[in-house]
Amino acid sequence: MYELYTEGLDMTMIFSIISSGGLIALAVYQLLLLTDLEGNDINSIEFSRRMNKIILPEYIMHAVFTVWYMLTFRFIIFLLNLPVLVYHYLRYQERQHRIDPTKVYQMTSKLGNHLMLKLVFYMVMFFIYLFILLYCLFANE
Amino acid sequence: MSGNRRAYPTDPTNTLSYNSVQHQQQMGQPQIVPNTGQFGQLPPNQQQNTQLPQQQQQQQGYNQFSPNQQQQQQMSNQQGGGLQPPVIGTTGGIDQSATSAVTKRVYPVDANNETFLTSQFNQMNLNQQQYQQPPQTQQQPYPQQQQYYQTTPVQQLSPPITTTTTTTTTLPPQQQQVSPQPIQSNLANPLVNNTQNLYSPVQQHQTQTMHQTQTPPVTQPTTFSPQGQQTQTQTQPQPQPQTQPQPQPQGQGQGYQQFIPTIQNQQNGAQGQIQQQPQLQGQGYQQFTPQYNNYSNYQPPIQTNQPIQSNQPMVTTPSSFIPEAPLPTAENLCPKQYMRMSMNVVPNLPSTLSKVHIPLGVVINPLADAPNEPIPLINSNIVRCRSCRAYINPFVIFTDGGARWKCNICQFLNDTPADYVSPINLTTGKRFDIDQRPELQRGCVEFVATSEYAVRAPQPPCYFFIIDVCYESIVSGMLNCAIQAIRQSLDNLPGESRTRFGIMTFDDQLHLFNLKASPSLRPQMYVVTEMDNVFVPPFDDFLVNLKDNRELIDNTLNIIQNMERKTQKVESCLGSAFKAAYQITQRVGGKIMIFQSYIPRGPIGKLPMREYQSSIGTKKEVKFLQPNGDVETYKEFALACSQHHISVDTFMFATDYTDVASLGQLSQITGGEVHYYPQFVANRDGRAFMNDLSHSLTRTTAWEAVMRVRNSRGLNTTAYHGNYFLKSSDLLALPTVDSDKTFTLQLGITDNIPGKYAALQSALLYTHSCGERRVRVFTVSLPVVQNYHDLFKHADISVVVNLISKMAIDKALSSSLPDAREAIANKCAEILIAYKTTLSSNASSSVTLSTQAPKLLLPETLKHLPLYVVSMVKNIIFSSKATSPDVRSFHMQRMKTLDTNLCLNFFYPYFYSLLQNPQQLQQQDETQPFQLPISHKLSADELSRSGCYMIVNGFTIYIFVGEAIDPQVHQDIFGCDYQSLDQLTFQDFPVLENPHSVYVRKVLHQVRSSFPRYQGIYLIKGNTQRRSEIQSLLVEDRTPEGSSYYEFILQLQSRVLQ
Repeated sequence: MYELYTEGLDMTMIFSIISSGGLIALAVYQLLLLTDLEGNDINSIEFSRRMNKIILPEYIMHAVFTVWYMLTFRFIIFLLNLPVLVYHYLRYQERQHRIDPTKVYQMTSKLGNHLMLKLVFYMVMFFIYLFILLYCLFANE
Repeated sequence: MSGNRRAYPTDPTNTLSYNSVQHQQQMGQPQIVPNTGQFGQLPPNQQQNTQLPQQQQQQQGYNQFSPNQQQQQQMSNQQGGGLQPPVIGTTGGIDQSATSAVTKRVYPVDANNETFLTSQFNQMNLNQQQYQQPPQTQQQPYPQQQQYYQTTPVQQLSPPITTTTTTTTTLPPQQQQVSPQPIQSNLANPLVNNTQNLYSPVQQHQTQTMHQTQTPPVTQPTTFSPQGQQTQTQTQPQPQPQTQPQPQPQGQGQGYQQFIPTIQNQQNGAQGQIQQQPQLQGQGYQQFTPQYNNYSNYQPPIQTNQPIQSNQPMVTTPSSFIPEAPLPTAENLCPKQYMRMSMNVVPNLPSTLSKVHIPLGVVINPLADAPNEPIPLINSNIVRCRSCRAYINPFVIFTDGGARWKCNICQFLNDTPADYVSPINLTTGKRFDIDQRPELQRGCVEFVATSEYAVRAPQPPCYFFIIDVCYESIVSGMLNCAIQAIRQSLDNLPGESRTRFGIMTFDDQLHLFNLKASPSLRPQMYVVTEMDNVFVPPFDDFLVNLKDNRELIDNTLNIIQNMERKTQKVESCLGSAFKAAYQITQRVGGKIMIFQSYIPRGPIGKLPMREYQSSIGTKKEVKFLQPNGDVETYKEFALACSQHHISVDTFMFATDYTDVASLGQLSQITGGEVHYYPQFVANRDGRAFMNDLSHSLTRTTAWEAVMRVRNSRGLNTTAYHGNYFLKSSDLLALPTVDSDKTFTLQLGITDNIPGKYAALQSALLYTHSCGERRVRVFTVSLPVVQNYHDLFKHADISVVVNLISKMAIDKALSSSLPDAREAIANKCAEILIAYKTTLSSNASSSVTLSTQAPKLLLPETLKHLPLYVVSMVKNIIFSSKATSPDVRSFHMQRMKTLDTNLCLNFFYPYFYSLLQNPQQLQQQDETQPFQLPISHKLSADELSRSGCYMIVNGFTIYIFVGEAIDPQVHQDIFGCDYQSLDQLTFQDFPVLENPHSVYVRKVLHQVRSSFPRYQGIYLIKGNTQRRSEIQSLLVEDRTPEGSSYYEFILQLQSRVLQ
């Protein structure tokens, strides 16, 4: 449990909390877009355009932090993040990360499920980072 | 109508009568040929339809028969002595020689499958004055339908209308299948048994009806309205030889039948309760039906239990008047040419649907060419549901004396607009003004839309041509053909004086033509050389009014055709050219036509040559059927076009790989069409190409259209097939639609469907070529049923096959071709297993396909499903044969838009022998319309080395000439000897004055005119390598691609029995 041995204020964790907050925001935004799409408030082209703008930043942000955890020997957190990293990588590899406006309506339910799972994951990670941060901060006392 | 020479095997069967042979005769199917017991002989009703198209149409729909005919049929049936007589008289007027032709088989294509309509309505369709009541073997699952429908004869003036006052209602299943009618059953039922079976259920029918009519004593009629009496007199009873062995002339038995049950009524009081569940469900509903009917003209001649107070006026007030949902009839349902369901009923539960495994779906052909079914054009205001925006249709219910109407799609209660209110005629339950309101009478109507339905001024029809003028286009003769076809079509373009026209050519430069009329009558040509950043001069003059500038346009076409092209350019910059064309047309919208001879190169939209050779036959093959994922250009182009109401037709002529899958996106997304002529050579493919081009220029076309299909609660659309772009979850954006475009919707059931009817309404909002904005509305209302039996009984094989093939294409693209083939076979097996498990008690209504597979039971409606499955698996779309991905992708894309007839034909083509013996040739009567020979089953058994055959799949005519053909006959037909017959260039029979040649040319002409698209000829000589191609067309044989039909049946049987 290397993560818990860092004493004092762990800057990595602070940034992690901020980033996972950002990821949560992105996931929520995507879910909102999806709801709009299902309610026919925006059309498929508009939806795809907005989604495609934020998907890659999300992947990059998540990947950067995951790699950073590995480099700083926080292996537990790294392992926790690994499945999502692999998932993102596979999506990117198969070019499924970009939303295809012609196929949007066939994948809305699948996309919704994926987004919900990711949202839950980001939230769990958020609290884990928070816990580690506080634990390290008050460990000595 | 291509289906006119088809037999319609499912029609008689759908009614599931206890005497299906008799039925077949009624349906105008002339011959019944004894079953030889051999395998592969499908149901023995080898039929050839001799009716003219329109007559046929009507017969199918309305079952008109003269009494004589009918009687004859009955007589002949009796004389034949059983259900499977050797040959029953040819009532359809077929020539006798055809009867003795060698092999008889049923054509599996059921072009005008009127399953539901005939079974439901042929007794009821009283608006047809010629209508004659068939013998009461019709089974009517929905009793109140009939009762309701009897209200119409009030308006009838023609004397001898046979109304169905007998009202045979639903039989409990065990009664329906009194006489088992498996097609290959060897027991030929003697007539005696048959008649016994025939009549016993009728009494019960009658009894039931009477019982139902009397269930609600409170609402029992108190009036003998004059109309009722009148109808009674009009009612000409049907033959009802209940006591007599001989068929009665019409007019006697009926009364008899009506009287009898009054006694039985009390005895069989329980009968009505043994009904199938749908009836039980509708019981509450039905309670009002008698009341309703009594206001109309239906009166049983003797009212038991109820005093008849004939002089009392009607006491009903509007408030106590409970309106009925109008019932689906042949008139008020949308005709099948436009909208056709895979099942003409809807199951009420999701689990029921998933258990029968028949895909639920609908095929919509919004602009179908159906001269028999004109669509009324309505100029009044458009009334729509406030909640779901559905259009008013014949199935809405008017309440509160007409002040409100209940939407049949969402059940919302709307206020009728003030100018639309009309009082309701309590006698008929309909509005008084219904005759002036076609939208309340017909399932297909067209409204003239007001300005609120247009976002901009209606666009003019607009055609823009992009022609590749690289080396190969000129060498192959493509450019010449294209220009010629365009020139020929110029006079027939839709849109009269509004049509706009533009043309550009490209190689590694773009050549734009300023077509604005100038005094010199010479077009200005602009050459754009900057390919990576296309700039189009900002003129409107590249897209001009055709009529005003006609002379200049003709000149321009000449100039393009004759322009001297010194350099042999092969760099074809399609991307840049398309971008320029898009910039020119985007303000107007319309149609862009691309003629492309190479895989696109150049800076924009360059498509790499994908190395497909190594992966043919492996699972990776499917990658080359999908668009190239690295090049998004064409998808982006297509999306932009779709937004600007531009649709793209792509004609491809390349010699090598041209990536049809990627280029096809342009057409797929924009609602266009792909044509592909591999290795185009003008003197071989030129005529097909020119005809295709002028057909697509001159056919009925709708512009800047959107389509939406609304459905009742509980139903939802799970997938769309066709060329479209989904703008929002249920709105199809269709920049252009034309008569060849079909959209197939897969439907699902999400929820319990409440109520007795489910409705489906498709609305196409478009700009007519004349510049009017119109809404075309199709509505169908489908009875909701609970039992599996009805689902199988009302399945429509043509739509089921269509749906399965389209689903399989999706499966192939998302997974792999072997998976798709497996999915097709599995689907068939699943359906049959479901049939077996759900209907074990009713097995007697089933048919078997072969004596060798007696345990394989099929529903009568789907008896050809295994045949289609076998042919589908071996079809070029799915087959395991090594095929260029371009060709396969082209066929896949085309299949997605095909309508039911073409789709069935493509899977199971016609197979004609072109040689007739001399006396048959002489028998050809000049006055009679020419008849095609009988189509054989697609098996090598039918093929002879000394014969000459024609296989017609709707797109290509394959002509096979055996090497042992009689030299004289060959000389007669082809005008040359066998050796000098050239396979590559043969495109038409020479005009020779001898009976063989005349006959062959007549067949060819007939075949070509029965399909919408021009069919080129592909000649196969028996002793050449091409012989293998005919082998793969003979789908019933065992081929390298799959097992034979017979083997497949046996496999199916073993799977079903597991």
